[in-house]
Amino acid sequence: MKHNKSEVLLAVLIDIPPEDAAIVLTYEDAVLPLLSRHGGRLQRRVRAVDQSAELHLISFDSREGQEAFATDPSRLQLMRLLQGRLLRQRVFEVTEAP
Amino acid sequence: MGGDYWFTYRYKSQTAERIRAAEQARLAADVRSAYRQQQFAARLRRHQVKLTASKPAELVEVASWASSPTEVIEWIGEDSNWPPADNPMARLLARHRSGECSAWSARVSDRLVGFGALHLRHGGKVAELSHLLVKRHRHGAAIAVEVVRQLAALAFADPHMEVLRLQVYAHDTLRNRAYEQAGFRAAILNSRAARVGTDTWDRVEMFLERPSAQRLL
Repeated sequence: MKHNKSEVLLAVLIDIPPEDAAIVLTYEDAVLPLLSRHGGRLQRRVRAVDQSAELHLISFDSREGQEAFATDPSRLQLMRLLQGRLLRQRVFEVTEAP
Repeated sequence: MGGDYWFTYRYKSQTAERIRAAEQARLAADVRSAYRQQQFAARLRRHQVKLTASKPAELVEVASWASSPTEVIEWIGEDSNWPPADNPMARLLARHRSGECSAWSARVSDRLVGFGALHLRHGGKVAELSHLLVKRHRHGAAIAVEVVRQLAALAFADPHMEVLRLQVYAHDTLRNRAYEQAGFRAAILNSRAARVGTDTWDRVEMFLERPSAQRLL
C-alpha cells in the first residue's frame, strides 16, 4: 500500500457490544460511504472472529479531508441512528511498519 | 405463640414506619429539588444572560478564568495535545479575525460571565461549538447551560444550518452536563484521544440537530 506524505492513514478500532451490534453496524454501514466525498477510502474492514469489534483501515488524501469527513453534516445527522447509544472507538494514526 | 405474634407485629410496624419515613424523605427531597430548580430559573430570568460578539480585549479576561493547564486544555477541547504546539488564544483570535469562527461573550447585568465560539463548516451547514468557559459563580452551571442554548439558537437562526457538533473530554462533568441539558446528545467516545503530559484523555463527540419544527423540509 502506497503512503504519500500528505496522506493520512488511520486505524479505527470500534467496540461492538453484543446488545447494540445491529445499531452500531447500521451506523457504520451508513457512514463509511461518505468517506469518498472527502478524499477518504476504506482500505480494509475486518471484524473480530467473536464479533466484538471491527477494525477499519482508512486513508485520507489530506488532513483537511479527514476534518471535513468528521464535520460532514450527513455523518452528524446519521448519529441519530445510534439511538442514544455511545459508540466506543479508538483511532490510531498509523504508518507502514519498517 | 403470643411472643411470635408480638415480634411479627413489631417487625411489620417498624418496617412500615421505615418505608413511610423513606417515602417522606424522598418527597421532601423532590420538593426541595423542584424548589431549587424554580429558584435557579427565577434568578437566571432576573439576571438574563446576553450574548454579544467578543472583543479581543475580552478574550484576555476570559483566558484568565482558566487557572491551570488542565483547565486550559479542557476549555480548548480541540484535537490538541499538551503542551500545545502554538498559543491557543492566538489561534482562536486569528480564526475570529478571519471570520472562520465567531467568538461570543456572555454577560449578566453587564458583567462578563461566560464565553463560547462557533466555527462554521461546510458552507454554513454545520457549526462546531467550542471554547465554552464560564466564570466561577454560584450559578455557573445554570449560566453554562444558558450560554450553550443561546449559542445553539444563534447558529440555528441561519435557516441553512443543519446540525451542530462539539467535542468534550469525557471526565469534564460540568461541560458534559451543560451540553446535555442544552439538548446535545453524546454519540461517539474516542478513547485515549488526547495525550496530556503522561496521561491520555477520552473525548466525547456530541451533536444537536435543528429542532424539527424549524426544519426547512
